[in-house]
Amino acid sequence: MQQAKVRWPAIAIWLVAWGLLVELDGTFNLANLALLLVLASALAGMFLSAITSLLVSAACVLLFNWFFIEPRFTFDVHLHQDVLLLISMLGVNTVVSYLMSRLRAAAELEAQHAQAVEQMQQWHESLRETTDAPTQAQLLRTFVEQKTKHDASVLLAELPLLIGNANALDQQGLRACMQQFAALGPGSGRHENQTTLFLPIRGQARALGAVAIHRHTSQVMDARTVQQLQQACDFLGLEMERAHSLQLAQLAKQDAQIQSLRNTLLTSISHDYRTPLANLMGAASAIHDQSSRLSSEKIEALASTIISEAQHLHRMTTNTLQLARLDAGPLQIKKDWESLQELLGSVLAKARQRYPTRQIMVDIPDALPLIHCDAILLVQLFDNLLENAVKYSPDSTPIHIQVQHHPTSLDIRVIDGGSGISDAWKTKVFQAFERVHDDAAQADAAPEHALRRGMGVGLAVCQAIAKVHGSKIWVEDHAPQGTALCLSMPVLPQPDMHVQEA
Amino acid sequence: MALKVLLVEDDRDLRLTLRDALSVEGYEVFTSGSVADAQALLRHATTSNQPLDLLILDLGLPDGDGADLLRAVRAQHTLPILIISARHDDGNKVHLLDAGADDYLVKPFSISELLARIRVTLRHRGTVVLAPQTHYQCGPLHIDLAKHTVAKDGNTVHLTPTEFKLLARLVRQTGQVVTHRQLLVDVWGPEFIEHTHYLRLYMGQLRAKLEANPTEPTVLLTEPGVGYRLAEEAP
Repeated sequence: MQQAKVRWPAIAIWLVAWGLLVELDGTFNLANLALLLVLASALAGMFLSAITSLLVSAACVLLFNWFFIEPRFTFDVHLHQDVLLLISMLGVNTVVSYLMSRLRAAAELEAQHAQAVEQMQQWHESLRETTDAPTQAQLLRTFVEQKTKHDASVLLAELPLLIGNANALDQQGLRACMQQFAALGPGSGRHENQTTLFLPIRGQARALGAVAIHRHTSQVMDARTVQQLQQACDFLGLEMERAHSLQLAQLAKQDAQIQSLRNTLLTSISHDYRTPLANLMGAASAIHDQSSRLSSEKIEALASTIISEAQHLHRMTTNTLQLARLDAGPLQIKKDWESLQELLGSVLAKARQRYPTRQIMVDIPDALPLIHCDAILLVQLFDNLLENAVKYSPDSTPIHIQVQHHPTSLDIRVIDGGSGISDAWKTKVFQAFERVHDDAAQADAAPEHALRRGMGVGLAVCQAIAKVHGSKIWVEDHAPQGTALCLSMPVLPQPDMHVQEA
Repeated sequence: MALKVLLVEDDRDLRLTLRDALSVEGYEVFTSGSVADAQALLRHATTSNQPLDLLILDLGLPDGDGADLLRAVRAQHTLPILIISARHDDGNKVHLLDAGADDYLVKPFSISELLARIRVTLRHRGTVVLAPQTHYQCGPLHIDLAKHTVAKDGNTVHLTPTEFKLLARLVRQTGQVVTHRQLLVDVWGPEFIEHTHYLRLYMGQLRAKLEANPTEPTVLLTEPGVGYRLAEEAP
């Protein structure tokens, strides 16, 4: 089919040339006609194999002799010039045919090469699709077997993994090939008498395994094929090394996260835990050592201190753990549709229990959109904001919680009537282990500052929680006095609220 | 006769503290620090025909997970189970409740909190065999499930059928947390397990009708991330 398609132009060219020869016979002299024949031979040579072209050309020279050279219709040649003409024609035809066939062979080789490259690329891509070494080894084996039509086995040293039918001797060969970082077997210059060809799977600096191609002859394999197979092996080697270094990088990242978590915990313990622990120790040891000399009211007061300090420690622990978790990177957040009113309500209920005398006023509009969030995290955020407001303002001042419904956001403000936060500290308050009035002397100077401790982690957690909810948190001055901590949450498209009455 | 409580807790100090506190309240307390020990005690109680009234179970035990013990006990016994755990993981809480725990308490907790939870849990003891609660009163609110009536300050409150179904489901477990999943399955059906937003909508409507201040409910309480709880009855 392919051959017929390619040959018809040659036949056409010869037919046209002979047509012209017959047509122009007598009009031009013999030498000019002969050139026509040379041209036809050269053109037809492009479409015919070297031998065919040569035979056809020779036949044409003979036919030319028969039809056109005096005496016509014999193979006799009268004039010496005509003999020379015939010989040169035959020579030129031979050269042209030969050149043409070489050109074609080169083009064919090029096409084969391109096909091989494409095959190789496809294989590379399929190899890249998986990071599983056994699957990759199997892919290499299939590739080698398709390419060579022989059984192959693959050894990966690190797993370790051996696929294919390799006997003890073959396994020895595989290991030797790996260690020597070079091919073994026919054509490799090493162990030429073997029938099996071994190729190393090379990485940057060492072999990660080897491939054995089980042949039944010690004949040397086509160099180009061997080169391709070696390329395939090396590609697998580099892929495996790449996967390995990715894995190492991942581990290093995890290590860094664990380190950062540990740092958070350590700093928190050294920074914020000592004071409540000291208070606990003081109150508990007083009851333990002096109970016989203390009034029952005094003992009750000490017990209250123990309870409130324990609660304080519990809150700090929860905050620190949450901060460490959120800091440590991607975490599973369980978001669901929640009602802001409900979440604030449950935070308020706890706060009123904790601070029964404190005035807390709430302003929430009706019919708010639902928010998509992790309920526990949001409750922790609001709880911290409220706790912060209580601790950083005098007991006599009220605390306001305001919710504003904007088209694209819900803004929640927790406002206290405290002394305010200076501009320099407005962003620093969200950094863990920083506190307003960090200067101990200044903190002790004002009595209400005695309460101000341990909230560094609290606001840092708030910011981390806001971040995972795509929300903003910031500090505002509140006129005429006090501070507002503001959270702005995005309003997302609401879920389908159409409910069939059950 | 004193109610029998089995306390499974591996921390010795906490075990002793809780045992003393419960004894003071008049409970007969058996203690155990491991799964194997607890199982032996449960077997003995069954064979000697002196059934336990309550199991208080810690999750992290030296020879196994309390959650597995919970499932094993729930498969054989109907006794109420109260989980005490230091794991502040709410997904886990929800799983435990759905797996048959009656209530949970996160450590650290105060004795008064523990006693309150025990009281509620014991009141629902045997909901599986006995008729469940059908009547509820808290402040101005009267609910009679049998008569299908809800009244606030003596005035009838009209509820839609779904609102009533939701309220009734909570009344049956007054004082105990009912998970989102349990509510959605029982009120709307198993195919609505993911539709938490229905709950937000209907709880909002119920609060608007029944609470004095819907933002700060006193009856229909929220357990963020877990479910809802109807406040204990109060005259």
